Order: sequence, then C-alpha cells, then structure tokens
Amino acid sequence: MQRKPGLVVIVMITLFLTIGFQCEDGGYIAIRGVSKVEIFDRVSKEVLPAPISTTTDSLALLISFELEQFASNEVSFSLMDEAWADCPDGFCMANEITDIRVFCDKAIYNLPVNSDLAGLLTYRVQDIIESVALDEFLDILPGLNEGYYFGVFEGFTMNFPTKPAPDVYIFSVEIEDNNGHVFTASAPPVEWQ
Amino acid sequence: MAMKSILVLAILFCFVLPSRAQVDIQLKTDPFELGYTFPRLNIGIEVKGDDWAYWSSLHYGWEGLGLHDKRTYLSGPYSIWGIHGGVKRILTSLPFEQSLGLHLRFDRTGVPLTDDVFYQIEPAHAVLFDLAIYKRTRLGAFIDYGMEFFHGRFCIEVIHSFGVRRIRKWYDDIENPFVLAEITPPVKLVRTDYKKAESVWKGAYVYSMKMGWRL
Repeated sequence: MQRKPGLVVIVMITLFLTIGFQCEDGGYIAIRGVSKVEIFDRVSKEVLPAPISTTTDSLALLISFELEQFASNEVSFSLMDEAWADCPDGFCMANEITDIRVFCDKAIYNLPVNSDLAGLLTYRVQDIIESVALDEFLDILPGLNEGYYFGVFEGFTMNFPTKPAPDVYIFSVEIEDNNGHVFTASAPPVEWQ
Repeated sequence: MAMKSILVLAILFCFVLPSRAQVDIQLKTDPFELGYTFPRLNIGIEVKGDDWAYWSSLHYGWEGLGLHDKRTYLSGPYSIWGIHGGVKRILTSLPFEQSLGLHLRFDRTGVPLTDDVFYQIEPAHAVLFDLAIYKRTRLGAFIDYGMEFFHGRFCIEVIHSFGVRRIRKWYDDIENPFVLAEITPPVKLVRTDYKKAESVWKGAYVYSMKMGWRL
C-alpha cells in the first residue's frame, strides 16, 4: 500500500503544534503580608533600634511588605525557550492596596484608644511620593509604573504629624488589598518623652 | 491493584477469544508524555485475528518515569491510572503490518502539590496555596494509524492517534488558600498546564510505541 503524503503532513503539523516550552519571563507578584513595621526617624533617616526612647517629633512608621512571585515557571528546556513570543517582559501586581488603617494602644492626638489614625498621617515613598494624605496616596499607588510600585514595597513611611503626649505607645497597622485580604503587623513599643 | 486489574482483563479477553486468534502481551508508552508532567506506562493485551484486532491496556505512572528532574513542586508520590481499549482493522501485512483503528481512553491523575498556584479559569482568579491535591480526568476518543513490525514472537508498533479529549482539572483539599481575583495565566502553560483548573474539549495527537510478545 502506498503511504499517503497527507498523513505525514498532518503528523508534522500536529507535532509542531503539540511541542512547546514555556519561557521564564513574566508573571505576577502578590502582596502576601506586612513583613515588619519599624520606627523610623525622618530627620536622621534611620530605623530606631529597640528599646526605643526618643524626644524627636519626626517619627514615622516604616512599612515593609512580604511579596510572593508566581506564574513564572522554573521548568524550562534550553531548546525552544523563545517559542512563545507573547510572554510579558516584567511582572504584574496581582493585588493592590486599597485601604490602610493605623491603631494605637493609647489615646493619642485627642482620639480614644484603638481609633483609626490613618487619616491623620501623611505617606511618603523615598524619591517617588512626597508626603501626601491617605486618599491621595491610595489614588497614586495603582497608577505607578512597575519600577516605582516595587519601590513602595521596599518600604514606605507613615509620618506622624507632631509629637504626642509623653507615654509608651504601640502602633499596629492593617493594610487591606482589593481582594479583601487584611494584612496586620505591629511596631515595637516607642517611648515618646 | 494494577496486577489484579490486568488479571481480570486477561480473563475477560480469554472468554471472548476466538479459536484462530493470536494474543499479544504488550508494553506501551507515549514517548512525548515522558517529557511532560505526568508520564505513564501501559501494559495490556491484544487479541488478533486475520484482518482485525482488539486490544485493551491499563496504564500506571510514577515520578521515576519522567525525563526531567525539576519536580520540586511535588510533595509526595503521585498516582496516575487509566484504561485504554480499541479495535483496529489490519490493512496490509507485508512488508509490515498497517492498520486503522479506533480507541477510547480514560485516565485519572491525583498529585499533591506544595507552595504553588492554580488558575481558576472561570471565574478568572488565581489561588496561591501551601498544599493542594491536583486532580485531572481525561476521556478521549481517537482514530489510530499503526505500523507494526515483527521478529519472531516479538513485535514493535508505532501508532499515530488523532482525536478529541474531554479534560477536567481541579484542585481539592486546599490548605491556606490565598485568592486573587481577576488574574489569568500570564503565559502559555505547556508542561505546567496542570495549573489551570478548567473543563475543556481539546483536539489531541498521541504518538505511542508498543512492544509486544505473542503468546
């Protein structure tokens, strides 16, 4: 029986369509949590080590994030790595910050214990965002391009407006994303003299 | 379990064995799947008459079959099992045997995965998890073109199969899920196609190699 060339063509085309390997570029990064909240002096630009006792009026909370990269794949063959031309070059954020809340274990700035202080603070990202109010900060964040947005996660500061009444304060932070996840963390106690 | 199934299969075949038929024990693999995520081997029986044959095989897969070694996402041994069966008409016998046939196949996969993500295609979201069980079933119907070569009792056959599959993929027993809305797979996933939780119809091509021993 004579072999039909059409069959060979079908086999070759099917093989070509079947084989392919994923390139490693691209993917997502998700905010998984707040890794730490530190007490930061805006004038000396230093993180204050515990135990913290200070008289300065230039304190801020320095927030760092725990990020998780996913979707790029560790499995790759050297052959045909570039087979898929539609891999994105960089990373996309998989979730966004939509709300920030700050609480204190003591009455502060004429607010009772456990009131949300977030509206009283200003927000700053080094070399990216100068001190702005909360609403403006939340508006700016999603519009930042990739490089700047990652700068946010290296640490942004929440600046206290003035030195409060002398006492020992413990601040805690809640950051909510657009999926309803709430990430919480607390700063070390700070004694404000 | 697999051995019992093979035994039952053999008995069933013997009951329907025509007097002039030959019986082959066969070992079969889909070579392309060895390079993919969940490879498997088939063992089965083929009953052959003058110009026809029917066959069935069971398959089982385990991690050691894979050609690549980057399976860090697996948290434990996985199990793959399935059953294939079909009929074929032998077109020519010389210089080698050519045949056209039909076959059905079903397989099921269950794999524990750690620290990974899956994409629920509808609605579009991604789920990061600490531990989950990936499950997949595939039901397919194929048209086969086979070429079989003989040397005494030994035979080797290559089979090209074209068909369609209904594939269902899902995840169970998810520990610590972290759901992210409006996320779609960012790149084409080939060897990591298991990350998409979906039910789809797919056209498929399967290249198989069978080694047989005539009883």
